[in-house]
Amino acid sequence: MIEVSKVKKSFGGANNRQYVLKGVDLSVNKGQSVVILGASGSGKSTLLNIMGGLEKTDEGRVVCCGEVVSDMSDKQLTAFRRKFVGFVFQQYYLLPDMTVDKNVRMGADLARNENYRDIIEAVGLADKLHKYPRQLSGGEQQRVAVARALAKKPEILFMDEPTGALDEETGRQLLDYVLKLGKQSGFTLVTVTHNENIAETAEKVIKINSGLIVEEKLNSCPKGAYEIGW
Amino acid sequence: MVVSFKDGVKFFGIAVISFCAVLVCNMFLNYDIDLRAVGATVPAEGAELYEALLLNNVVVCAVAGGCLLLTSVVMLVFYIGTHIEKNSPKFGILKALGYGEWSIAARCWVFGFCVLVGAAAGYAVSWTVMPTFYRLQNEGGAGICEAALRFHPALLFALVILPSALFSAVSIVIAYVKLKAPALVLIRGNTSKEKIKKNKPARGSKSFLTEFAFGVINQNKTLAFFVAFGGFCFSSMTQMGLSMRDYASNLMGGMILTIGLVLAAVSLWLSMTAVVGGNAKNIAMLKVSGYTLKECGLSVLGLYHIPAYIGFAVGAAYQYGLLSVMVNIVFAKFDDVPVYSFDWALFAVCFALFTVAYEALTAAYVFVVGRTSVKKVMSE
Repeated sequence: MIEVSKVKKSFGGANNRQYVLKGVDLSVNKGQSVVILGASGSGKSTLLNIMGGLEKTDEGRVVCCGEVVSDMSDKQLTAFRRKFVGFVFQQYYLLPDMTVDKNVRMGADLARNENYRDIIEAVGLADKLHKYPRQLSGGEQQRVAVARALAKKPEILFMDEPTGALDEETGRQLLDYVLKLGKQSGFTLVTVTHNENIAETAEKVIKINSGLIVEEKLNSCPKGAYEIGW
Repeated sequence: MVVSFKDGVKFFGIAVISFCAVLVCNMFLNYDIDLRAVGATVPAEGAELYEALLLNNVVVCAVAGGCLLLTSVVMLVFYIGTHIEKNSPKFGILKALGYGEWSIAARCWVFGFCVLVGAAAGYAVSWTVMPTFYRLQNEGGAGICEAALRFHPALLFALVILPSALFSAVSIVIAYVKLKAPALVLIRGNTSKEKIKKNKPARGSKSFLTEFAFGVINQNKTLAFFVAFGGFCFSSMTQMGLSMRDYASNLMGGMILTIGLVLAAVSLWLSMTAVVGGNAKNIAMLKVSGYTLKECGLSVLGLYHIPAYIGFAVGAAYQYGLLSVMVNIVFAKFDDVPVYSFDWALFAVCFALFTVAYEALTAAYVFVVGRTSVKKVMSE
């Protein structure tokens, strides 16, 4: 599903160039739930953005859903994201002047998904359909972001610190919704987090430190959102 | 610093409008005062021409000065509102720390500085043009009335110093009103009164992008006005400048044409920059989701075509009405004034030029949208 090999990425000019990724190799199977675990500044979000076609590599090769993402132009990356990928960010990034219904429709229209309201119902927001983001709690806003990402029927859902801005209860609730929907729909789930407890919900855990993969392990018995510590 | 000179520089549009307003008004008012001073020497047979010249001065000052003054006030209100909304967390923190509304708002006097810059430049440039302007006007007076160029300090005060002081005061008052919102509301970045719209039944037939495009223009009605104003300026002033060659000097026609083009360019540029800047995060999210550059650009800027072309049509009608009034009322008593009629060929040429210019500008902004870094926008 995803093959990352020898990926390097740096930021800054010629005098102060800093390598965020220093040669990363990893693979993710179709339908697998993967957590990329690392501290702040370890390069995990950059890696996620590269796999999702939001950023380009300096070196290395990324193959995602059979497409060589690392060789794509901006136009091709847009088409790739449109077809295959859903994103959930820590800061939600909802359209503030559009209702829950319209925010989710933003994703649904890309996949001509007429039944997008089923997803809104699945994340427990059926009664908030015509509310605006400012009328929702943080947890509810993040669930709208998840519904928006899933409404476009992605093959891979990338989540960057999805519970980072939520308290324990709403964080667990969100995770529970995503894991259940993942089992139902069969999408591949790649989550980036610094929370080691969340890693226990994944089938594969990849630890990253200073731009290098330092540990990769399979988890034969992933736990549910309410079975882990926080 | 609450407001810096750098923020004042962003008010470039107001400076340009002030420049144009003062340039035109100073020339015609200065000429008007000097012309009135020689009124006693005008022979009886030249009285009608003399009166027509005076009336012409008043009409030009009222139309150009009044229209431009109104536009600059609307622009100022809009930009101060936008500035405060954009920086509201910063202001909210200051309020939370105990700074009063007046003490924060007082720093907004800087916005009056852009008026001072524009007005002073307009005043200076008008003095470089005035010798030629006087010569042409005196030639137009057929030797009946010869106005001599003199300096009038009252005009310097009324056109440069007074507007700058007034605009500074208006800026402070607007900022004060905006800062009356509670500190927490400012910190959350929502200074406009929260309007909870009634739940409307889902309009299934409209796509997300259509709904989004309507949302963008609904939330930026002031910008729609500026886009319409840009179309209006282009249409009215280019057509007026080119079709009044039979009734006024080439200098006057050229001046109107130049001012029209400058105003149209500034209005369209500023409003489009504000639309794209104000929707940067929404555009970034559309791009992340996989919407194409064309879809993003059209959804944000597409509906602004409507006010732009409405403005153009109104501008064409306005210049026709104004020139008709000038010819039929101001110059009615003269026998050798050519008959004025609407110039359809000129209208077609101006429309074609406007279409090309407007579409090129839209395409340029779509390109800007495409170059917007998603990561940069999201990290802001």
